[in-house]
Amino acid sequence: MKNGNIFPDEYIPDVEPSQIEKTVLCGQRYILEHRPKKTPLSRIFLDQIRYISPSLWVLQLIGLFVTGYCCAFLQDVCDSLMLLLTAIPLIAITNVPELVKDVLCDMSELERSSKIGGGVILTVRMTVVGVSDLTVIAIVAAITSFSMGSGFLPLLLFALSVYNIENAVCLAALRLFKIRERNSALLLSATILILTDVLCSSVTKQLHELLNGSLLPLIAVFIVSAALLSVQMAVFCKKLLIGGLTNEN
Amino acid sequence: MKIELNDLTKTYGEKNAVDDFSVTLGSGVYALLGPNGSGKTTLMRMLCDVLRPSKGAVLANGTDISVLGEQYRDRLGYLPQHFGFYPNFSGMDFMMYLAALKGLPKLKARERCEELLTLVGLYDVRKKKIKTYSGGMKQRIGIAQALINDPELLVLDEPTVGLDPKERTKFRNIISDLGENKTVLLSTHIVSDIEYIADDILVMKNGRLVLHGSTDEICRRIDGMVWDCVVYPKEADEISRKYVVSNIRHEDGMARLRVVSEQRPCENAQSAAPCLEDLYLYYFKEEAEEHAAEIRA
Ligand SMILES: Nc1ncnc2c1ncn2[C@@H]1O[C@H](COP(=O)(O)OP(=O)(O)OP(=O)(O)O)[C@@H](O)[C@H]1O
Ligand SMILES: [Mg+2]
Repeated sequence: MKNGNIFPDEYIPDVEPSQIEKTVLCGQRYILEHRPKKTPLSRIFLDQIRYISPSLWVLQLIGLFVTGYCCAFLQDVCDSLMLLLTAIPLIAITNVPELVKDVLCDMSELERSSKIGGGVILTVRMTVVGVSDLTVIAIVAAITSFSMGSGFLPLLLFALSVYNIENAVCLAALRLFKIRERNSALLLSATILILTDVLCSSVTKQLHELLNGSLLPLIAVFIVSAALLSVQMAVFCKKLLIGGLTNEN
Repeated sequence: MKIELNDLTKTYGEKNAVDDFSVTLGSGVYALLGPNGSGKTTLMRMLCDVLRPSKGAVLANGTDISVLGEQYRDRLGYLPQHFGFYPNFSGMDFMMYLAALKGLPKLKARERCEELLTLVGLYDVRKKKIKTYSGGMKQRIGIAQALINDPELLVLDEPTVGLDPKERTKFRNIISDLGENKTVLLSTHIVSDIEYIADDILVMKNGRLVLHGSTDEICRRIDGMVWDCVVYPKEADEISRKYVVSNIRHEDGMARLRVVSEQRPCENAQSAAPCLEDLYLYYFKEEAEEHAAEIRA
């Protein structure tokens, strides 16, 4: 309403409808941007730890137990190489299936559309699995090194290299064979681990030389394996984030 | 929340699954209607930040959702067409996990999840493993999880699949209530699910938005093209071969047909008021014919 006649000095113009809409939108945007809504990272970590499959922890414990048992009672028949090649697959078997479990169990759309989002969930899950694996592998290497009298660092580097390669191959195979089902993924993972073991056992002599020789070649092998795993992880994340990993393709 | 889809396009190889789709959504219930493969799911995935568009953008209150990220997803509820669950999840575990992902404080989450499980009639089986649920029960828990964070934008991909008539009615009532101050977008090819609850219908064909308006508005396009006729069964066969028939009923040895056609299909045909079902069949004649052929074969 124009009030021109009542207050001649205070003429109020009619507002344009588009202005009203703009003001409302500005208000909404302000509220949207100022709601303190970040979920603390610690909370996200705790939640992911809580929902990690128990089989991952159980297998890690079995890996530790086997190492401890062999070191205590089977020192004569076991050597450090054999021990690592037994323990690491046990620790790693559910690794990749656990990392990509949202894709395997068809939960990825739900996770990625949730507030926390697919990127953060994957990163947190990777960190949880990675850190716990590294800890267990370090303990295995330490026990082995202590009881078999071999150097700790070569054993650790060797164990990590095997671990990296196994995971990288598993990720690549998952993508290549378009596996989208949990049991098949576990089967694939197991197959790859056994194949790696068979392969390693056929070159035990060379591996022993590597373990007992200078550190440099071991460091090189480790770096190459870490790079391989990083590349596979990056490809996987990229695919996941652009939505290329749905059940139809 | 105002949602704008600007020239949204998703290309797979040579094919545009969604093709230059533009629309603005305010509050209300919007229904996305289209035959199999028309791009409904692809569109919804882009709207839910699950799939990156090849071209175009989704804006929430004027800002690109890929910029808003978490802030946007916080106000979003999504029921994917297909979803699964982690092994050994019970109904309650599933809900609590998603509540955690949606950032709800634990105490509030429990209360909210129980409330929603009651709403969809799954409270009594909340401790049972989801793998023992029937298809309809899974669908209901899917609807429940989409509501956990009381979303302002609710995207439901074929929400009524597998629901029995009673649940379907209940679902319609829930959606009507929500649509009053929220944006609800649901996809379906079951016309009766949306005829009475959708404020706006978006008809999609080959990835494009071909029709947009209220049920009455878009039905007006075929005004005068819907016919009601009573014929002998022998004639009925011929008419169904020549025209789009949206309904056949046999009564007293005669056949009553509902035909969608520009011309009068038979002499005694009476003009009838068009409904959404007629419009759908008319627009998707080829698909309907393929479907009919499949049934015959
Ligand atoms: N990941 C993908 N890779 C290649 N093509 C795809 C992919 N996803 C969808 N398409 C194609 O895009 C088109 C649209 O698919 P979409 O799933 O969006 O259809 P829809 O309308 O949801 O169908 P329905 O009613 O069967 O659910 C289809 O032709 C489909 O083959
Ligand atoms: Mg679909």
